[in-house]
Amino acid sequence: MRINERWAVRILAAGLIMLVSACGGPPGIVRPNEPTRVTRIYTATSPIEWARYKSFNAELWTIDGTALNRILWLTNIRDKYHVFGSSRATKRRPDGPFYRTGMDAGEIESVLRDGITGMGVANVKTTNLQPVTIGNLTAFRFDVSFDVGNGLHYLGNLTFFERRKKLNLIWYSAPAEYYHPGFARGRSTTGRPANP
Amino acid sequence: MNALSILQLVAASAGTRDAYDIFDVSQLVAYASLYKYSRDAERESDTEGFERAVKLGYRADQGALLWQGLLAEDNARDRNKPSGIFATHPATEERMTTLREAAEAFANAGSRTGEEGYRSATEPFFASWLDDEMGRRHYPQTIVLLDRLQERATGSHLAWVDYYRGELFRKRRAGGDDKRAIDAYRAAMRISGYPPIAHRDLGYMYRTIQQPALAASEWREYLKLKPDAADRATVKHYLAEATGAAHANQ
Repeated sequence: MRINERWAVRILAAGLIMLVSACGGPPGIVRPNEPTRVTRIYTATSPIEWARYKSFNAELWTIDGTALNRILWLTNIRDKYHVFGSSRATKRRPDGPFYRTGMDAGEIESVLRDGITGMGVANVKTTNLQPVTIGNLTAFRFDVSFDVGNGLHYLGNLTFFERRKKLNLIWYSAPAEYYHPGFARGRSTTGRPANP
Repeated sequence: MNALSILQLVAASAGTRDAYDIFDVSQLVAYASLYKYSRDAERESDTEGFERAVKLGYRADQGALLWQGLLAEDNARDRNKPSGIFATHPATEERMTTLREAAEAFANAGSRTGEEGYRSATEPFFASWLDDEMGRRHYPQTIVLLDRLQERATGSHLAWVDYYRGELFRKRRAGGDDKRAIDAYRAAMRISGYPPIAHRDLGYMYRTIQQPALAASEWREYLKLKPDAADRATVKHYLAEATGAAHANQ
């Protein structure tokens, strides 16, 4: 099994664990135009309804299914931890896509790009890194595109910020055909940190 | 009926835990056999490729040199070492030795290396391939690759090699890497046609070691050379931060 395939299996397993750990009840609903507390960090308000899967420090939102549109909220990624997994930098493996406290925005962009590539997708491109304001925090956002094995081309953006020496990120992605333009036409969700 | 089928038959009829183990072993044997077939096919294609290259007048020793470079990268690998039994290709050392022995019989066969054609064909991709290489985050191997490229590169390629060496040290963060990164970025900037992003990333390096005035100077130079940079707002954000910090330190 190639490295990327192994990672795809790990990500899938992590996704399943996330769903199982959210089994306090069925997947929840984000009601339109109602402020919603997300992962104990944000308050988000969306003009449309989303299905919502919760775990301790992550949430996954989708409208039409996670392959068609999704927002991944990941919070409290600690120093030296993999940006999308539970592994951490060790003496034996010091060089993976691990977050380090105090990284500049360009370096975090590159770590996230390499982390996305490690999920088994191809042609990952990131552009347009910009500072943005979320509540009273300065965050950064970049556009991201990639291709998956079944031929779909995805577009999206990733917003991230450091809070209490930990990394937090919000990653939106959808297929370039139909779903991403549909979201961009007015389905945008606004959010702010609830407890910066 | 071959041995593999018999093992599977035994496994299916026994229905015990041991039988399942046998079944697993039989599958492993099957997979290993398939990979061996692939390795044999690759050996054949190496030989055929070598013979064709010699017929076209290329230097016979170049194939072995290519594998020598890849072997050095393999040896620098610090994790995910390939398994011999499940490899789809023969071991790098075997391929190098085979081609070297074959080349000895054709020592004076030809003198072409095709270096210029190769260089112009790969020119548009040089920087993006190095970027992909950095994305693997296997830095010991990348250092070996950069050393090899440095021996052959000229002009702006040399500047890219120095730039990515700086990036490697900046991202690796081992002891002494901050100075190594600064030296590498500076080396890149001494070469005509160097990438302006060397200034941006040197600025980030200075920010990491808390030298805001030096960082600001590099970012100003970057924005001067790339006024339409896509990350202009981000660099200006850090420039404002550094300028404030530099004033505070005075």
